[in-house]
Amino acid sequence: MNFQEVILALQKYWADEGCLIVQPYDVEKGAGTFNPSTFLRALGPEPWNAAYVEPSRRPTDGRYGENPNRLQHYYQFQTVMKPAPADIQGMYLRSLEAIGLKLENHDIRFVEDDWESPTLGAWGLGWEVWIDGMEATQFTYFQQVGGIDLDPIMVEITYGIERICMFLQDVENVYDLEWSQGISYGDVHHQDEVQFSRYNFEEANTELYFDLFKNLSEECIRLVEGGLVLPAYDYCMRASHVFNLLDARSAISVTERQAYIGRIRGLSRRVAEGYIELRTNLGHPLTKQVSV
Amino acid sequence: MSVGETNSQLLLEVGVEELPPGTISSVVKAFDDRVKAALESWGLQAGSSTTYATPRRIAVQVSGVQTQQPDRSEMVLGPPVSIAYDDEGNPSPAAAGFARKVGVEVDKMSVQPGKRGDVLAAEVHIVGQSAVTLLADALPEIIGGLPFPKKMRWEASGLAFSRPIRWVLAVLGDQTIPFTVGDVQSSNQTEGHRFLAPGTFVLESPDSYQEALRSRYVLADMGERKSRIEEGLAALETNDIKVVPDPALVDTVTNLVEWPETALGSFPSSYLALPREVLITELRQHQKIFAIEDANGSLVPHFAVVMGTQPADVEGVLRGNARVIRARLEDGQFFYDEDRKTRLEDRIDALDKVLYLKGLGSVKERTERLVGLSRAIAEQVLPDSVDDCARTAHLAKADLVTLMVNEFAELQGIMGRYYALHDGESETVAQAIEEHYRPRFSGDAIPGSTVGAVVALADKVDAIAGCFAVGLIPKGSQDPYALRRAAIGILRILEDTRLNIGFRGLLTMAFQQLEAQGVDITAGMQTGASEFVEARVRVLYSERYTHDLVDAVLAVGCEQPHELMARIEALQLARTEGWFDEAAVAFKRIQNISRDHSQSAYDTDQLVDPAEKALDTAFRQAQTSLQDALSMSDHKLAISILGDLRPSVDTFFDEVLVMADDPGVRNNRLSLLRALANDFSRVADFTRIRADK
Repeated sequence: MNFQEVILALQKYWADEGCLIVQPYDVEKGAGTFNPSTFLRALGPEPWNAAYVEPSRRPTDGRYGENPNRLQHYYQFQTVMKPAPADIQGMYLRSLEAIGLKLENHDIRFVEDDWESPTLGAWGLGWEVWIDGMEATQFTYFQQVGGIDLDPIMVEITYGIERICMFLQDVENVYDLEWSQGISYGDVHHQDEVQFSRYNFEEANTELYFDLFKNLSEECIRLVEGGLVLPAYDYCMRASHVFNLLDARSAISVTERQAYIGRIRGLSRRVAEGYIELRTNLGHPLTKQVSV
Repeated sequence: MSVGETNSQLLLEVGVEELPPGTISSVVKAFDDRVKAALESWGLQAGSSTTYATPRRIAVQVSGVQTQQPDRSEMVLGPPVSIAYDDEGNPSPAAAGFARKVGVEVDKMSVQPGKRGDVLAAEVHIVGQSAVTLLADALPEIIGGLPFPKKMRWEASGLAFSRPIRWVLAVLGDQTIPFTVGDVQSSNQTEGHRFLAPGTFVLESPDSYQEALRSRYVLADMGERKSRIEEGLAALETNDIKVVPDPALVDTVTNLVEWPETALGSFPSSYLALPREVLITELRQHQKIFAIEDANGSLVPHFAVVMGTQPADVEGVLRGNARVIRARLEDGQFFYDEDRKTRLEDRIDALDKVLYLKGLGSVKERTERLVGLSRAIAEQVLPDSVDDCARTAHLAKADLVTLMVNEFAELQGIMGRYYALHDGESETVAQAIEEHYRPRFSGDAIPGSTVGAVVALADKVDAIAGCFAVGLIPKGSQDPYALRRAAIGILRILEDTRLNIGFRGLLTMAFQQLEAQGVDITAGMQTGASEFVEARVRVLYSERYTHDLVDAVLAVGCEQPHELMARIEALQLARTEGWFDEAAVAFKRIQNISRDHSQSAYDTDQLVDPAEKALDTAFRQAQTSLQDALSMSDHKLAISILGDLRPSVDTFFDEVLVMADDPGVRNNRLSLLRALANDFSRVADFTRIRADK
């Protein structure tokens, strides 16, 4: 299967399992967990099943397009289900069959992994799923998001689709992946990696970003306080990405790092609290819909 | 009650999504303990128990469990006799109420002494309950309460467990024990291997458990799985290649799989240029894969993987693993190459960005203290290597800001050695950089070189003094900065190297370094740190020596472990000789009487009594030989020289009144005794030694 077929197959599979197919969120972010479809929808009593591709930016992982496995921009395929179905492991394994993996040919293991996102004030327990030693998926039962205990529990399944595809296509270099007939991953993204690595590591204007961090954080707080939690969350995500850029520029000392992470966690907590209030005031419409 | 079998086999299995491998053995033991404790509390007989555990199940099997509690009677106390009857001798409302409650007529009751006089008492017949009923009541709580370091919730009831519970098998003989845990209803069904024998099946009988699972590709017994892994790994070995032993990794993979299969794969030999430790760590930490070496102990480009299944395409699985390993090793190669572009020397400034501990500055500041400390220690004990020690300390922490150590913290020191050699540092310095962390854990080797030992002492004593200076003092079982281990490390290094320095001297130097950097130091901190290390001395030597001897030697300021041991051993030996106890009593008397008298210079001419003159003479004679004995560290001889003074001491106390009326005479006598006491104190504080009898 080529890259886009894998995405299409996963979308089809999870749509058939009852997930909404939502779209990437148009703000830079480090992982699919930041998408409001996960971060915000995990909160509160309302059920939520969704799947989507998320372009994810990790500036420090850039390698100027020279490393066969590392990218500063890559894709995650994310499935979230709340409440977590009892057969979720089985559903996940069948999704691997849906992208052409013959389970009996492989050594598939669920290896303990305690997931945590200090900036999102989120943690959960679960596994890395290994296929023949390759970490293919992060599988997590969220316990807290924005510092708030969850009930019901949302399960999050995050596929590293480049890796899985390299495995399926048996290629050694991510840039050699076939995206679609005749077009490789490298054709689509190699120059991005070259240019953004240079930008992230060498050119990003740290003065600008320090200012941005301050302004974005303040805007986030202002909006939360004004009850505009959804726009506020955009600014929380942006602040987080700006922090990642400053980190890639080594502009933040190890000591300061903790303080920055703490500040973003503070923002996400405020947003989470505001979102719970918003949904409560709306009377949790999705709960009603399902119980009818 | 039914006739027939009264004892049956009990089998309880909790089926889960994959548990963390590190928790499995302890939790199944707790499960076993709690089930047995419950059976015992109900007075049910039970035979031996067996536990089974895999990532997907924990199970307890108990043989010969009594299926029915016997009926029993119990004496229940009621109202006082004084209010049990009315004027006519009929049962009062109180007595009638009690009779209704216990279901026994008043005239069938007896009178028993209660706390405040006699009371009515009824012999109540209690029908025994069935084991199934008792277990069904108790198991939800037993299972739900099993201990895990981290628990999670996953379903509506809010039950918390390490990972979701997906089935519970609970049978006693041929009966299912009915209960629910969270959203799971117990049954007589279980599951085989996730891929090789998917789906649920009914277990025929509790005693067929192990075999039924084995035939479905689950080795439920942990020991059996481990042996299969060890045998599997051994089977991969030839005359030319051996699996690098890693017992901890064997334990981990044992609890990662239900059906272990081993296979041998390979990676490009170019990666063998990486340091051995990097290769092994990459394989172990990230991939849980074993490294392979040749007969000479050099790594070869192969790996051994323990799979959790029998894949139809083993070659494919090996290819997959090899691909990941290549990517990992490529990362390792990248880190190694990048790291070597910057000399350790040029990384010192970057350490300023790494906080050591709040109040104790950055790791760069710590490095400066370590240089000062290592220099000071070396000047005292290793004057020829002062520069090597200082150089080692200067570079010791530089690898903390390398990519490799950032990725694998456990390679700290080891990478320092490789990078130091690459930078052209001497072999001595490179080796000492690695060794300065030792001993890293209980049972770890101490530094093999004296330069390594000096910097290791500096590293540890700075940690202790620093933490005491900012109030991060270990309490109870809380010791987040591993100061106890540091203290034990100091003692082990001193004991083994016999470097001529003691722990108190080291602490003083460490506090001086901190003070020079502007950290406020008080006498209380220094005493606290010193007492903390003394407490480790007591713990460390408590198995070998009696407390009083350790205390007696510590009390006179002995601070070097080898000296401490030599003195204690000499005292121990002396104690077995007849004269010792009485001599000790005499010495104690001298130490006690002169305790508050600080002056030890006395005037020989003022000694008048023959007994005190004799003591003075004996003391003077002894002093020279005592000095010789102590300078040769011959403590046994020193103690026997002191012992020889005893007759003169006894005669002195028999014939001389120390507290003479004449203050001049009195003071002179006290000074003589003080001088004697001072010399005893060069060995031990005899007042702390317990008489054996």
